[in-house]
Amino acid sequence: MHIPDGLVPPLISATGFALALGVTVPLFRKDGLLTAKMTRISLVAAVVFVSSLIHIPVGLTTVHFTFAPLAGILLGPVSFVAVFLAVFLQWMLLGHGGITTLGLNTLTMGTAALMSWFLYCRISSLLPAIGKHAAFPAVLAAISGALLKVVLGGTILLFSGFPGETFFLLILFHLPVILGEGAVAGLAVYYLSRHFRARGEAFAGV
Amino acid sequence: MPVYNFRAVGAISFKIIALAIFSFILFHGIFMPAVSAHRMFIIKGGEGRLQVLYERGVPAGRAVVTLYDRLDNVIVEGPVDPDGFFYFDHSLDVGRAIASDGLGHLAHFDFKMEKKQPGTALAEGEQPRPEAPPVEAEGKQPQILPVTGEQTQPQAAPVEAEQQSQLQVPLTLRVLLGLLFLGIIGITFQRRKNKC
Repeated sequence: MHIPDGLVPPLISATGFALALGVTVPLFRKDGLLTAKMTRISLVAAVVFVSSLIHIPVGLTTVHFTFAPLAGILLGPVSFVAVFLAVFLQWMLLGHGGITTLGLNTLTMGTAALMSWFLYCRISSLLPAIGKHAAFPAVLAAISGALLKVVLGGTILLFSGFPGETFFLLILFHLPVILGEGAVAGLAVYYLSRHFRARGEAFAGV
Repeated sequence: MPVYNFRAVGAISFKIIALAIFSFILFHGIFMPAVSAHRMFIIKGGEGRLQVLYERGVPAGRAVVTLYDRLDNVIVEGPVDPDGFFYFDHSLDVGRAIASDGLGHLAHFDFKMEKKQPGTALAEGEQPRPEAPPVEAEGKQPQILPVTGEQTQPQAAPVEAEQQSQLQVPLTLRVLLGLLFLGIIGITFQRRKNKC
């Protein structure tokens, strides 16, 4: 989901920009990030960018994928930069979101990516005793991340004067996307883990 | 905590992601009508009738339309029908219309601009073209946007100029432009990395 221009008060927009910049700028300034990981970041950003074109009709509206949780699992903390690039291009080229809500949209999707990465690492480390497999934590992490994204978006709309009904409708309508994000992340990680197992290596995110 | 293997994963993820992107482009080109962005916009479907659509013509059946007069007073408000149509008395002096689907999508139609550019409106009974430009791009003035009928504070003006330029370009080309931009970033940094 993208919050368009004109829906949120300037204060919330400014807060979104401040928080998004507060996370993105240190990542950009971190030594070696640009040369070492920017190629991969741009590839994952491309996936996030085109994912918004895959939409699902739900009731009388449509919802679309973001693949931000998958980006988080694949990239780790730097997925926030990939999400920023994707959201920026989605606004510029596809008309999703808006300039005043660029920070908020980056923040909601970036937080989902970071949460997915964090949960993926935590769940992976907690499951060695029962036969650790990369796909199961990825599904759980991606579903949680996608749910967090919708909850954050709904909360922003609540603070912008929308009725409480909007919050629950957002979650309800996004359920197919939330489950889909989990399935896609699980399949991607399952494939990668199989590939690495065949090579005698362990896949645990990028 | 898991062990990270950047170099090994990078080699495979590059191939997989590149393959996924090219596959998407291929399928997007073939199955164009099935894949679309879902921005919402309003078109005029004749006298006293507006239609609220998502991009590529999917009706926004949840939308609520609010009509304002030229002094920005609310004169009519109501939901659209399942086909996205909203009917009103065409004798009303309507200045602009706002549609919100309650899920964060917002569209704007400026009747003042529409009257200056009559060619942009659709005639009665005419079907909207798949690439019909959203009329929200035609408004030029800062607006006071309602949220389900309630007046809110004046918001920042939307970037109609950018949106108008976007909508002249087919969606496929816009997607390719975005991918090209990201590809250039990736290749540039990959070369720099190799030099290092």
